[in-house]
Amino acid sequence: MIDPFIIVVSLQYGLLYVLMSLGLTMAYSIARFANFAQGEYVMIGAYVAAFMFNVWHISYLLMIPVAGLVGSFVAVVSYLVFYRPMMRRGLSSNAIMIGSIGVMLIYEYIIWIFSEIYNNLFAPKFDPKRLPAAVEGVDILYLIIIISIASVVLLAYVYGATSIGRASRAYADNPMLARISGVSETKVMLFMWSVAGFLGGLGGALWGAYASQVTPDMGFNNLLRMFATTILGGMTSFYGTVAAGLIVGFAENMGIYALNQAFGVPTVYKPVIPFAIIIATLLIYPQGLGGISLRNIRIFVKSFSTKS
Amino acid sequence: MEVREEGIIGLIGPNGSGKTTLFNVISGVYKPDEGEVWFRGRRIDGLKPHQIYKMGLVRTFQIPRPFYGMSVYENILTAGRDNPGENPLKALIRKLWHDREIKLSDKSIEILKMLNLINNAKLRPYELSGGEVKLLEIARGLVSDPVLLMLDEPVAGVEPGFAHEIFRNIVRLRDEYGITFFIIEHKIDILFNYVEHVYVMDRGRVIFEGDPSSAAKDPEVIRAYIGGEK
Amino acid sequence: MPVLEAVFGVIYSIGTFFVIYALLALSLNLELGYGGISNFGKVAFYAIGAFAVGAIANRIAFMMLGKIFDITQTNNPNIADPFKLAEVNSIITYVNLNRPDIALPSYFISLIAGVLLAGLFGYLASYPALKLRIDYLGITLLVFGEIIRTIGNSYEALVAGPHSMAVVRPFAWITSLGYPAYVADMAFFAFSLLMLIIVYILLERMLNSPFGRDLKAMRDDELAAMSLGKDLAKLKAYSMIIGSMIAGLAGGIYVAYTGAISASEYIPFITFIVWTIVLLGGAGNNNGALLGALIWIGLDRILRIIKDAFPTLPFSVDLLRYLLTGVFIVLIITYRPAGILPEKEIKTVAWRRLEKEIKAGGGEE
Repeated sequence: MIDPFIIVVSLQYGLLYVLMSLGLTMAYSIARFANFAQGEYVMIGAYVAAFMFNVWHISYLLMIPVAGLVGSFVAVVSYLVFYRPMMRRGLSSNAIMIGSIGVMLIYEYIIWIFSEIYNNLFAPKFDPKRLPAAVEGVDILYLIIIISIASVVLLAYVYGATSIGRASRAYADNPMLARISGVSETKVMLFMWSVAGFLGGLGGALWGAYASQVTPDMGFNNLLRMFATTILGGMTSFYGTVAAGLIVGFAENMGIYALNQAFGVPTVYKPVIPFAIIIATLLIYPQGLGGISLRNIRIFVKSFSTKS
Repeated sequence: MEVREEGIIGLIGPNGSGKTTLFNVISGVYKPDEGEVWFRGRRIDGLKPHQIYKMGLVRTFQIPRPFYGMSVYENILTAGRDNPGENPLKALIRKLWHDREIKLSDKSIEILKMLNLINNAKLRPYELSGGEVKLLEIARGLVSDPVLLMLDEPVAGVEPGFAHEIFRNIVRLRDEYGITFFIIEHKIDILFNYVEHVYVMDRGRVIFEGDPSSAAKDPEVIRAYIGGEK
Repeated sequence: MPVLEAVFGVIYSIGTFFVIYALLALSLNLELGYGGISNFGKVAFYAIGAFAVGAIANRIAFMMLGKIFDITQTNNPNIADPFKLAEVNSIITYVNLNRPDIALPSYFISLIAGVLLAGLFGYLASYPALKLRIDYLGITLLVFGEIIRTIGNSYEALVAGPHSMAVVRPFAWITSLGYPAYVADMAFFAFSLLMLIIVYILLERMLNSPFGRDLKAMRDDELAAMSLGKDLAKLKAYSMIIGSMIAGLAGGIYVAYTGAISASEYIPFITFIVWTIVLLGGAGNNNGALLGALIWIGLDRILRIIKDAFPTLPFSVDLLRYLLTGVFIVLIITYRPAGILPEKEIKTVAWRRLEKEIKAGGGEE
């Protein structure tokens, strides 16, 4: 009854969302603001991989980690050039979020302008639609599964067991206390941004291959779905984000499929599903999946009975 | 606990005893887990802060919360109640709120003079000294025509001579306008000259109530303080 | 005279755009600068006003002609039929040029409807404004805007989705009377300028008052404002309703100016432009909103001049507009978040009494 193809698609979307959104969660947890430029680390990673493959015929498989490194670089540079000065001026979380919108626009349109300039001046032309369906003979699906699961496991290990991971968690918990205890804010920040950017770039390269095209606005297009993932996950919860990514991927794809089959809802409305997840989560249970605990559920249920 | 109408009642206790939390519960910032709060024959626990304000119960904050985007004067004017100009449609027709605004402005100026803030009236709160911001906090409470005004550490950071003057004004306002005062204060030496009844809290419970001189001698009270700080 | 025509042409295009962006900026300034509401969905309310005019005016015009308004495939209201759309476009063009008895009421009724509809949605949006933290609110309203755009784009029976559909214009018929084209243009510009002036005067009146003080109090410290008797739910509702109505008005003016509607235009970037304008000019100051709009229009013109002067550039100069917006946002937030013009005091009669008092006091120590 349910087309297995949809399940495969949902899985791929879901894992990619996890990969791309972890950086958003980390930024919110440690730098304490919603980073609109996260989508651009994804886009830049995708473009780098696509460009190298397309124009210089370098192996796409090799380009995937390179995309990650480029994303990492861009994220760190963004911190040093844009976000750290803003933080140093004591700007509120909301103000830095607005600043990150500016950063997002800068990256999106620099890439757009450069790709136009390149295609007008140089050859061979960069074709954003010529991307490998299988990388070195390995179907994209398996690459996505392997890389995303490996990343999640690695990240869980790093943040759980290494000293920089512990320092980062302490900083996320209470920045002032952590600083006094000797945790280096700069180290925590540089580490977090490089990982967030790396995962984003990785996700971008995989996404580009999966979607068989890269566009300059793929960053923003994915951003809202990444927000759905992070918000549903609970904004700061690692495991929440992982679960939420899969849920959003399935809800979006199986959801529109089901709505289409049952009620004739046109598939163009697919983007509305993650939008609805965002609004529903924030208005009904803003703590998200990561905020699920017995205590919170009791408070949530109680809030209905004692409304005056 | 009971606060008699037109009284000046004190609330003291070591740090962390729950005095400000009590104010938060009474003024509607917190909802009590159990128990009831009554004001002039009506039950008010569970109401929102602005509804409680409308009934005449006004509180100030221990750490002042001025509106930093407005001048001192506008801060005080904002605390005034029942101004028809607060409705956007009525605001368009100045005649509808002109008289109320004049009365409010006169009262605000009078309070500014009383608290020696008149020369700072045009400044923004971040240009004031710590003590002056505290006075602004009190001023907002006074201009709001309260039935019961709850002051949270009104003279912390204010030099003693002036602190006594503020309390003398509190007594005068009670005598002239019948305002009830419920005051949290750490400077017991100043407070006890002006309150007729005092509650003492420690670790979330009321451990004593009575007149100030008895409070000073009560063994429970002394124990609570020596265990904590003076 | 060709020079006169050119001058009027410039006034019409720059002037009308200034009006539109000024209205949007005043709208955001009310919500953000006074009310502290982080409305990242500004384009949604702009779109609602635009969609209302596009959808309702055309339908009224058709009704008055005794025709049936139909632009979609016979059994599928989600997809437009290009032939039906072309026919509708030509009928609307005919109405615009020859039937003021239809064009005028159609446009103005739908404009009013659009303003009210936008206000209604603004009221709905004030509920999350009350409940959510400021950064979550921004994301929620941004998403709301995207939902509006998706619906407008996907349900093509409404305004033909991304395809361009002609829209009723209130003054185009003047040209058919024999006057040069710029007369009709100037008439429309005069109308939109009048709208801006009315909105500006009403806003200044409404905000230089206890209501304005209450909004700023809520913006600065919600807990203190609550404790001093301010009903936050009401204040946020007022801000959002009035702000959204103004944005809806801007949308209704925009589609009449271009003469066409396309749902794909109402992207978040428009919201970002309005934010840049308000932050640049100075949030909390209505004159700042106007100044920001002026600067923006000026920058836009400069970019157009560059585009015309250097036609052989290897990239599209339009992209620069987006890039510059991003640069502006980063610079403003980092170096001058308060903007150019400072926030003014709310000067009611109370303020004048204070000044009198201080002067009488002779400035004691």
